[in-house]
Amino acid sequence: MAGKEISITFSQVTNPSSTAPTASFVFYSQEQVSGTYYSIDGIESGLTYSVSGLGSLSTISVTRDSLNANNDGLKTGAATNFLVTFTITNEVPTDGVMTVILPSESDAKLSSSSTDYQCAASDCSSGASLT
Amino acid sequence: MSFIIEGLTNPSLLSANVATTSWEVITATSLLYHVDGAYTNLKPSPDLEGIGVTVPAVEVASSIVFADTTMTVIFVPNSDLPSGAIIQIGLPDEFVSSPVTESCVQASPSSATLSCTYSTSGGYITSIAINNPCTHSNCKSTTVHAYKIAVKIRENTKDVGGSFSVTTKTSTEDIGIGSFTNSITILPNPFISTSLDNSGCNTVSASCSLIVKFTTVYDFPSKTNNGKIALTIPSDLTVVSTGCTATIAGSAME
Repeated sequence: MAGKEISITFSQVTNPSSTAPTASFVFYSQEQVSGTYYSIDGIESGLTYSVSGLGSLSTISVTRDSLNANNDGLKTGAATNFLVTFTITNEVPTDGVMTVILPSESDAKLSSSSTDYQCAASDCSSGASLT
Repeated sequence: MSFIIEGLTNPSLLSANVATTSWEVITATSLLYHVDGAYTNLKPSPDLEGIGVTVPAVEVASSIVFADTTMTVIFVPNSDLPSGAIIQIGLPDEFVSSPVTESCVQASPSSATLSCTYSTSGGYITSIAINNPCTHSNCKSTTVHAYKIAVKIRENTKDVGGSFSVTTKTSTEDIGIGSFTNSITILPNPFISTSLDNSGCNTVSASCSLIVKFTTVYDFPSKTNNGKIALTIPSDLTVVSTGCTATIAGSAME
């Protein structure tokens, strides 16, 4: 059976829970000698599996806070708050994070002293992401 | 009557243990006329012991299954080797077989290719005798010897253990012997063309079929002849259905 392509199909496998590569698949062709299997060909590293497609966030919305009856929070150049709401498809790990990337067209200036989020790369200017 | 003769040196070869000539002890008058004598079958006891050969390393360039490779044996004989000496390398059982081309090169103290003889049993090399190692250089007791010997690694990853031995000898008698414990791990030969195919099912946590493909290099037995494929799936993948199918060259695998 030298030089032959072998194909093994698993009918139903659940993809990894994130885009992180898995550990390597490990497999061998083996023969039994005195009751013990020993390998002939094999792979022990480097064959990892990963997916790039993300699960969806549904019913997502971003709402600007009017702040008061004068709608100061809606006025240009005024400080305000945004409420981001969404429903996740997959569970977020306990040590997981959420990242929001603000569009560069926004002139929002984020507070670098907030305890609610951290600006990526300490950049709190518009267009930055926060976690 | 007894007396001690100080300052003598033992013979350099173990052949002295089976010497055909006898020590002779004779008493005599002051004018050297013999009185008593013993001159047959007299030899020192206990027998000479072989000089311990120091073997600091035995290595292979590749320890992959079926690899035609070079085994390097390094040793210090700890005794002067005579002209016409032979180096005999003993190998662990079932460790290597004969390569496509047998060859023995003295990497130290010279860089000469030497004649050598492979001995085999059951398809595996049991020992290699390297002839005339002193032809191209001195063979003093402290000279570091290194030999590169062509071998072929065994056919699977079985850990054969055992030891390598180095015996220095004349054409008929051993001079010294040393050994080195075999700790070489034999590795599987890499498959070629390994790939994973999820048929475009590329989303986090989605359930789909997954195809593992690879091409063998060497023969392995069928199931009925005690062969198998052993596969470990990474723990971060979940097998929902344990059912799987396997084909070899497009046909269902046994």
